[in-house]
Amino acid sequence: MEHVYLDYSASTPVDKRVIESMLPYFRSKYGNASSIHKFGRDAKGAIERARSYISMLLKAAPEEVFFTSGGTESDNWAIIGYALKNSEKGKHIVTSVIEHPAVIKACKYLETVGFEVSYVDVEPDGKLDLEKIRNAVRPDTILFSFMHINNEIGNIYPLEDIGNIARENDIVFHTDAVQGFGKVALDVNRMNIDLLSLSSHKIYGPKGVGALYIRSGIELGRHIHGGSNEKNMRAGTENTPGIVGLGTAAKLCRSEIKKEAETLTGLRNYFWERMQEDIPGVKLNGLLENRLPGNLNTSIMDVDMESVLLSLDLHGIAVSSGSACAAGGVEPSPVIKALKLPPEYGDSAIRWTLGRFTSKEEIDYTLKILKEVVDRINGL
Amino acid sequence: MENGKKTVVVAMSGGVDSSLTAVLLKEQGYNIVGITMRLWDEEDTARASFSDNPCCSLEMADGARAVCDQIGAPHYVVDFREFFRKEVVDDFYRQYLIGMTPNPCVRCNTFIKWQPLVRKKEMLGADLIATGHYARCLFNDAEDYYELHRGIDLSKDQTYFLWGLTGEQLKNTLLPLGEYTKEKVRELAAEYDLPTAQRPESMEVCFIPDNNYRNFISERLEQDGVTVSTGDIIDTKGNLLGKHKGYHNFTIGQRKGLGIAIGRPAYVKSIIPEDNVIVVADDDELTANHLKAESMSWINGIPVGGRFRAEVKIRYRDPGKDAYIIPEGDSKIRVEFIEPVRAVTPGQSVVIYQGDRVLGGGIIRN
Repeated sequence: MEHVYLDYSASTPVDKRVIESMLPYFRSKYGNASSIHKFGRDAKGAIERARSYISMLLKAAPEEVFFTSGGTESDNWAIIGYALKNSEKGKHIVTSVIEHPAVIKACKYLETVGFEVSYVDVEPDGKLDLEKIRNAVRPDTILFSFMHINNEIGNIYPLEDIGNIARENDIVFHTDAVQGFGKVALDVNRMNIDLLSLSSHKIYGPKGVGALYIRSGIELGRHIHGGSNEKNMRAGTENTPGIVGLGTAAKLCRSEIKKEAETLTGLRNYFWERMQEDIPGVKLNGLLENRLPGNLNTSIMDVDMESVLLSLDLHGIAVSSGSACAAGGVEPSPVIKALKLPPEYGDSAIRWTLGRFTSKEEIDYTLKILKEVVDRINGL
Repeated sequence: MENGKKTVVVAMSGGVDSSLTAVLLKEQGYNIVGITMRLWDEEDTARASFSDNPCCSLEMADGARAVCDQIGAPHYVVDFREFFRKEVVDDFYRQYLIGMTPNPCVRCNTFIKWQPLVRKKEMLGADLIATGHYARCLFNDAEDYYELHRGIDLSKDQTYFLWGLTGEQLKNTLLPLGEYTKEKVRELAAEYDLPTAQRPESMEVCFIPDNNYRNFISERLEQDGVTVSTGDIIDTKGNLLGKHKGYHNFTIGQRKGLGIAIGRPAYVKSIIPEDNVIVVADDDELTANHLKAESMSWINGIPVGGRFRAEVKIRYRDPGKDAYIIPEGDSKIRVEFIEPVRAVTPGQSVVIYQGDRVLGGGIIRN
């Protein structure tokens, strides 16, 4: 087996059906969506269809969906855009310590311009304690930002409960749903979500495109200044092929979300059971229940996971560990640190994320190589 | 990687030497795994950089990655920061405080780089390690061990930094650049169109900005809450010549920046930390006939038969001096020079050669 890709939470291959749907917008329907002629209308129509596919997955209205360049831009726009526009209502934000850097760093930026941010801790199993969130609320709290699913340990957070706390206290609720959108059901109304970030390349769409859901009535500052694109909020000629790709990817998720979740949960649980049999001292980080279907995150007692990761890569198996550093190194993950693992596990963990094209043969091959690698390292 | 070829972990700084090392070994038919060791970074820098020094900066790691990409080899950045801080940086500071003039590059190369690199190699199931040092690793058939020899480009020879290696370590080490001149290396790098071919060479200690070790020590002292008191500068007869602002600002043999005027050139002869005293002397008083060294390490074991004649280097750019070596137990030696030598500096390494072969080395004590 030449390559096994088990890093679907980092990025996914683009589904062939998605590529097919994008091609016309490179080849023949290449107009600027703002143009009046047929080329422009074709592009505009495709963008609006994509908008509606996304809104359906969120149970939102199409006009509440704004296209961006990806999850990071959506997070920045939601948090900074809302805070700066609404600072007269208050200058306090509540989020958690295990958010994606796009959220954490946006909050850190706001701290430099007069905002205060409370970072709620997580429990050793990765759960969020709702009481801690409730206790962090102040009279001047204007915004919550809590992720839908953790990118490393795959925990699905109780957005409905958090949304209720937000609603009770008249606080706007943003969620980074990059890991869960298209994989685990979302409902912005039932969950009281006001702002939601999503990305295309995690759901078999192209890179460089994403969206921000903005509940109608929620006011955000204009994000990019220029033309009248995206209702005057985010200027710049629309990335039509990218948006079409995201739309198709969302449409496919909508029809396959249930079946795919069942398949991946089954394969993931098989993987974990076999791993426990084959690998002594293996530990699951986070809980198996309420977890992203394709996600496993494990540590092995007295084994440096960085060496495991590199060895797997040398055998063609792609997984991730911690957060990738810009230079290609491995940083201890803030999420894994927050879990406060016993010292014999160090701060190192491997994240295995399965996806649409993962086969049982690949899992079996991975288990075989993992055993070889761990046995070798243990034998040193 | 199971194609029957041997796999080599190449330590790649992103500079031209280690880049060419990877390329040459690839050409020789090895599987290559490039490793860039992340050793040091300045905290709280806003930009994503390992440090301001080119030696371990982000750009350098990217350069190594580009070279690996060119030859179709995997490349990883591994984190050795904690190890480096403890073993090299803290040691450097401690040595200065006891009046030594340490050579952190010796410590880094022999004691730091090899161990974790060899460990990494084993963890990855690779067979060998390689570096871009200008030195040669030669097999001695008769004795059945690996010897360390100077690189053929004597002006670039780096064996001074490698005396702490052992024959056992050399068994699994490849040093291909030892067979080349620097000029040839640059030429080959250009020929292979390596992205790192034009990279300027770093001559600095990687963790000391602008090579200003005095500032570095002063900052560490401040961090540790140590107040530096002024002390005396005296001559060899005990006459008071002036005052200084901390003995850590001086190295043996230093002439400039002493802050005294006695009408003739004066040099630092010794540093006495206990009394916070700097002793200066005329040039001719700076010579010594012998030195003592500790922490000796012998590459292929301690030579038998006691006293022997050899060539020694007492600093990196030292052309070499003839001397008798008198082993005193396993870890100490006395070196008796044929001709008196100038500025023997405690803390620096003494490295012992026979011809081009390195026998071993140690740290000069006095």
